[in-house]
Amino acid sequence: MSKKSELVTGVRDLTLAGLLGRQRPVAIALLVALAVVPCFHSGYWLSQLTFVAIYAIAGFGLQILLGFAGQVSLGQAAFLASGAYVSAYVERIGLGAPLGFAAAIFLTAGLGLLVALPALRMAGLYLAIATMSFGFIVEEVMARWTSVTGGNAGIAIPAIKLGSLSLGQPWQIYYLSWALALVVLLISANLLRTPIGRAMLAIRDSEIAARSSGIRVSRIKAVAFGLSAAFAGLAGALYSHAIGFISPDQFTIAMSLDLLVMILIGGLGTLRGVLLGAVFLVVSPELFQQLIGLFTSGNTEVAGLRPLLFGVSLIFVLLFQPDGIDAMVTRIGEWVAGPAAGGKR
Amino acid sequence: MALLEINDLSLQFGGLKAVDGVSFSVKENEILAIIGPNGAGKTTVFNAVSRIYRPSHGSIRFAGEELTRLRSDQLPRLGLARTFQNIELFAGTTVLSNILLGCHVHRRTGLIAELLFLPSARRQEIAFRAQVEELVDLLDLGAYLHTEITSLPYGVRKTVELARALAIRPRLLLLDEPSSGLNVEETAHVGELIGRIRDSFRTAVAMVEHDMSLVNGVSDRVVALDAGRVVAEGSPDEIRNNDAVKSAYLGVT
Repeated sequence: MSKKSELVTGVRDLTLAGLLGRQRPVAIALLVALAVVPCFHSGYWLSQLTFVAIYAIAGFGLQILLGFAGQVSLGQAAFLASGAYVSAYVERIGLGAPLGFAAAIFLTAGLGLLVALPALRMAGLYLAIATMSFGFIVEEVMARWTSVTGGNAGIAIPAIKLGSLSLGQPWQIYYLSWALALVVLLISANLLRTPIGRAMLAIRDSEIAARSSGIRVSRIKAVAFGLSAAFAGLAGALYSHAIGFISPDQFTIAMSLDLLVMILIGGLGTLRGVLLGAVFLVVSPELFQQLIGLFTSGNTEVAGLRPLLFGVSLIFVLLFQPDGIDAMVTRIGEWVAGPAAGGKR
Repeated sequence: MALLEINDLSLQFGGLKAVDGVSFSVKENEILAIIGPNGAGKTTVFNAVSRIYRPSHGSIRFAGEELTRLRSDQLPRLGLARTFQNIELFAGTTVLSNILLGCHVHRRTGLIAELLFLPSARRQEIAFRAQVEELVDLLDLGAYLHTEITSLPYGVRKTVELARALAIRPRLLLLDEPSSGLNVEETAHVGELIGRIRDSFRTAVAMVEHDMSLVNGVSDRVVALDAGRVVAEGSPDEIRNNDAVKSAYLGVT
């Protein structure tokens, strides 16, 4: 067997190029495409693509928590809310956007650790209920802490300012969101190729074996919650600036469920699945709406279409493709490459 | 001094005394087999040593440390590794990841270094993989490195679990029925492996085992348990001819 050559101590995924493997040409093509989009288009779809990046950032966080560490959360919207309001507050008191974003990330990570404390004693359904309740509490706090959050009336978010530079244009927030999404993607990929990330997979699959391999389960769960919240906090800060307005009704259980559906449909446990899921989440309701528009006259927005679409898609995926769109893409990739390419990944 | 010293260990489940005043020891570089009929308390002793169960009485000293005061996740750092009767692997990931998880105890990097994949994290990964490679060569797992556990045959899974335990670089390896689920040839192969592991890593091995050909083939010493008590201790030959052992297995004669 080709032992040495295969591992040669695994340099495959120890370099950036190796991490992408055979997907490298596709990845580069997509990056170039993303980079040139604003040159041709500045309207609706540019802002939709910005939201793909923002949802992907939050999605990477949830993937770490659920897909890697096996801890479910129905309260991710609360972390996004925390990021949004913290950055808004810090910028309002004049400390600037970079500090606002940093505060959004770190304070929300702290909030994640706080949630992890009770969560360490729970699993499965109980954890789902606990995190959901946490989401409700945060919703209530947003509505009532009017001096900071503006209550149900919400608050307007001014453009990000870096010194004299103002990032008010859609293409600016687009580039910022995608740059940060790629950084978060790289960090998540790094996690998977180093001990703490592997330890997350370990506690997901067998806590007893994890312990007897010297892994401190509670600590790894806490790290998963902290990282997940940190990414959601960053996504929340970006989200608030991309929309320009935040209010409590944006950060409800519906958003938490959207994120959950996103990574389930995209593919549990894979980073590429998060990106695919984010595209699905943002683009599919739009396409579906237009499809309906072909059969009905005019642009009447059909109420309840979004949950219906997501619900049906989720059932479809769970029935026919439990590993999500990601597995579908893998299969298509293998089919395109043909049997000659062979090999795994 | 012995590497592992179990003294007057007792463990109760409700009214049932699963382990009742058991004492034995494992010396450095020794292969010890623990035998006994079903329900004799063999696995329970293992689970007490690896702190999955809390003993109700007695002491377990390993390399000078009292294990009853420690958590199970602290034991590998002391040099204690184990496998499980029904195999406990990380099923959703690859053979490589599983064995690398055995290296977890030798981790020197912090979270930030890992998230940013700083040179220290990269060097560490390379070093870990070099260790994995050594084990993979020894155990002949090269063909399966990037295969997910769920698509592996049973025998290979047992070997992966062994590799993961060895990646801890243990001073004492606890094997819970290394031959269970294996056929005759595979069992012979495991016996040979256990001998090789002791010789090349200078690791002491304590194993719970039913297969007497394996026990006689590799062990230096045998401890026989019955109904939670030690009924005999000695060389494989002595145990084979011991009356108490015979009656434990065959009923009182």
